[in-house]
Amino acid sequence: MLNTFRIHISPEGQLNVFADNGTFQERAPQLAALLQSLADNGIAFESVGAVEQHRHDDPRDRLLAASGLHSHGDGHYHQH
Amino acid sequence: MPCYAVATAQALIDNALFSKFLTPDLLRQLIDLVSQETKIEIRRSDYAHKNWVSDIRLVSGGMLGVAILDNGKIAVSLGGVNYAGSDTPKAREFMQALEAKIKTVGAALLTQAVAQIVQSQGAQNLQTSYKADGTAVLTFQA
Repeated sequence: MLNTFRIHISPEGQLNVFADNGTFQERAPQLAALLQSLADNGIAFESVGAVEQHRHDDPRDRLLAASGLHSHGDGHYHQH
Repeated sequence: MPCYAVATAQALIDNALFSKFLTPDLLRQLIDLVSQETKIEIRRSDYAHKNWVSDIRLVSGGMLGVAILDNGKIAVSLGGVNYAGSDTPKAREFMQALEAKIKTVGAALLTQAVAQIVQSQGAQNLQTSYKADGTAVLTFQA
């Protein structure tokens, strides 16, 4: 089964790599492998962050997501 | 439970990518493009030195130098202490416009390289779109 992924690349060279479905346990290793494959193929990274989980099971999170904000499930929100 | 995972990385867009794609000839084309866009008239002197790309003399006064350093980074600088009068407002305007153009090209090169890599890894239905702020969005299935 194919899964959908997104890569956002900002003009400053920041990459945000997303997996939109499945469980965190399934997708986290895939995202880490995706970044590693980019590095292995010549993309030099200044820094690489840990894979994080974002949830939308709380209606408040869906409202925030609609406005471009996301919850990390630990009470803090930020924009991508 | 509905969720998604996200990872963030900061790419060095002025390093390996530039070494691979941004040749002196392409850089000189960008210099001429900036001249056209800013309407700042220049006289360009090119060099075959392995680092030095061009000297740019502004007709109105002022001078810039452009080089590709050994680490792949593009250096755009005002003429320096050996060139009296190189630091003029127009020269600074040209330098900032050229730096912005190089940054734009760097982000485009990065997007192109990432797209090629994910496709070579078997990604399907790859689509590229752009947000209003210039962020490229690659969507694919794997």
